[in-house]
Amino acid sequence: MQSGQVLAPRIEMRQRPSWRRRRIGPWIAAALWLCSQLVVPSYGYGKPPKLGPSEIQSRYRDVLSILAAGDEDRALEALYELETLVVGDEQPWKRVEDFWRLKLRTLREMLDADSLALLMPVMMLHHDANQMYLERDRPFLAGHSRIMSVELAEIYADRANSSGAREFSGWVMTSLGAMLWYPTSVVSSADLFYRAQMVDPGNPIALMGLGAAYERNANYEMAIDYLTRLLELDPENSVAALHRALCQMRSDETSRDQGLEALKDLQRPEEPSWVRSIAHQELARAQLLDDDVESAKATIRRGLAALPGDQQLALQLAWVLDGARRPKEALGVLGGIVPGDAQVPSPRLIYDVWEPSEMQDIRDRLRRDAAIGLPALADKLGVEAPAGGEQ
Amino acid sequence: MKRLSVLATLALVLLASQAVALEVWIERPRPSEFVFGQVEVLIRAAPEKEVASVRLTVDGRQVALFDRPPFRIAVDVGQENTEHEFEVLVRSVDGELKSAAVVTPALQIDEVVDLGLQQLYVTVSGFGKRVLNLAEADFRILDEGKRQKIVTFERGDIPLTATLLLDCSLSMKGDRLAAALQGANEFVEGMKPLDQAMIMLFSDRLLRVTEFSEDRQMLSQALTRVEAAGGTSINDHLFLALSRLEAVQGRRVVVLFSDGSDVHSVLPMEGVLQKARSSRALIYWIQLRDPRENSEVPEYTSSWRNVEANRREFKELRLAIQDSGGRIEVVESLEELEEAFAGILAELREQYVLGYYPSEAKHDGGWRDVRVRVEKSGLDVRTRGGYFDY
Repeated sequence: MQSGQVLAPRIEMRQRPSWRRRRIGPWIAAALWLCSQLVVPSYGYGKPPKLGPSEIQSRYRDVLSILAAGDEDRALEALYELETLVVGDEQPWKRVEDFWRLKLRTLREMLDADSLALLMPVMMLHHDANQMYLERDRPFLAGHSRIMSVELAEIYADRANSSGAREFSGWVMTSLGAMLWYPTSVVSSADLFYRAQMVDPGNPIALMGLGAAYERNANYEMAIDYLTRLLELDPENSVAALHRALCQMRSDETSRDQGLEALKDLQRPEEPSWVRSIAHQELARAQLLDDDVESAKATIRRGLAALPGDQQLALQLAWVLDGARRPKEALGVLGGIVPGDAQVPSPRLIYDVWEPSEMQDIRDRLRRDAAIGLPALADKLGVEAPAGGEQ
Repeated sequence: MKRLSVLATLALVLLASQAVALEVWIERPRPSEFVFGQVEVLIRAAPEKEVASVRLTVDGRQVALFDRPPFRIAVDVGQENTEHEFEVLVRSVDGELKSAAVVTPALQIDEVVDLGLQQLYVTVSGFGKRVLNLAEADFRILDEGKRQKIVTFERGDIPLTATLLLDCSLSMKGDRLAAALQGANEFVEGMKPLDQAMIMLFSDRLLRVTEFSEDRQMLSQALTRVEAAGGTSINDHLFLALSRLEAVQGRRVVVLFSDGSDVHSVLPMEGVLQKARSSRALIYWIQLRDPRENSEVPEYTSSWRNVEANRREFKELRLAIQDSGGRIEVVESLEELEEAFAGILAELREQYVLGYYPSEAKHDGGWRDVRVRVEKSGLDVRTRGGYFDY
């Protein structure tokens, strides 16, 4: 039990009649309230004590000073302490909004045209805080950190107005989106990917993520748009090409023809085997929809010859043969299906759960790049920058 | 001395006249008959009171064991155009063995054949209990709305061949999978000597499969050391299970266990629905559902299908189950799982089996609606919804 707020009503419900008779109810309630105030921890749970605006700004500057001195781990812990103290667990939107403004004001007071780079380590601090809060199961504070980081990324991209700044900010937002990416719930990620590509239209993960997110929501036109942009930048990206082809197949008639052609291209031996498997499966499916059973059979057989042991292609062939009233042949094909390794996903699962890859490398690079801003931050806060902070 | 030998001869003649020789023969199918699919087998033995047991094997596999007349059963010999051997072994009350056999020929390609018997597995329940005391006269079969003459009628325990199709996808991790495996094991343990089962474990791919077997130990073994991982492909594996079942004889059953709906199959449920109808297997789905879910029909999207398409897939799966004469058992807690598996097995033990020859068979491959009614009010009658008239 963390506070008396839950305990008091339970007692009250049981005891109410006698309390009323003896008129001691209000006294017991007052005593319980007093106890609850005494047992509430100083921060982290329950109602946090109030800090004034100047105190919040001062303590936020302390956090930034630790960061400027090059100790991001300690800065993260100090930020955790400050944010849990101010915000708590109650999701007080007004208090959070004020807190967020105060932090921005603190930074704005330090910013000038020559010191914009100081935003880089600060946005990474909040980026990493987001991860920390997710790991500590504090989703509300994670969201707060995310908003802070994205806000700084957009300010930095806008004010610095250089391709480097836009690229850095775009990757920070993409990385945040990737942390939230869960195939069955893509809205939060898609919002971040959208904001990332607004500042850096060439960010490949953001474009792919948006394509996949729109595809999941059956908005094939938008998916094709983002995937096309990605393929213009990276024509060899076979994953994007496959997703676009399948979106085209499900879109209008003209796009369908383009999709069919792309599926034929994706059957090349140099493509990943799961891509080839799906290219064969989906081309055959389209041929069946066109009542071209012979072509469908030929496509699947070609796929099986190229990818022997592919369970889904074998099932599809058996199904087509069975539908063509050749059950014995179908049974023969099914007899060849052998169980696979549970840890090896099927091509259709790989396709369905596209997720941002190699993000750890990207995050490490972002942290290295963010160190460029430490001297400017240290200078503004009057602390000593770590040696080698400026590159 | 001469007198003694006459007396002895008379005694022998008397004994011989009392011990009438047991005779056995197979009346149906006839040796010249081409057989496919459901076949009515009728065995005659005379005198019947001398018979202790009658064992029927078809193509080397035991399919029935009778201890009293009538010695009549419908068996499924599959769709393959091949010879079939029906062999009967009768043991008399004195331990004497007699046998008879019929070999039916394969069909020559220019011959026309009348595929005969339609067999219906019927579950009748009322007021929360299954009704077990109905007689042949209580049933009415309607084929395309026309009443049919019932030619075979059985009740109670008939051997079954089941595929236990278990979803081992990631969402089944932990207690869910353990409970499902335990439930399936209960099913296996509840099998009787002539029953057979196959274990088929799947996620987004086939993970494990056994042969059809009566060996409960082997089947139980297949339900151990399983890890939950991956996505869910119900359509693909239901098709695989139905196809493998189609090749075996007798009453065919699929027991599907899954907590979710299809996401990753290459086959559309619409296509599997055709297979479900043509296979004539009873399909049961033990659906583990989160009680917090508001909608009976799941609402989700994937890269493969949008909400509407997923909804359609789900409805078609439900239709396949309904058409098969099986049912969906919704389970909301793991504690109910064992009972759900056991309940299905109990239901299968308490079915009526009705056979009839369609009066207006057209052999045009069309779907024929079949209804079974019981001439008593307040009873729920469940059987497959029809058949393809090939």
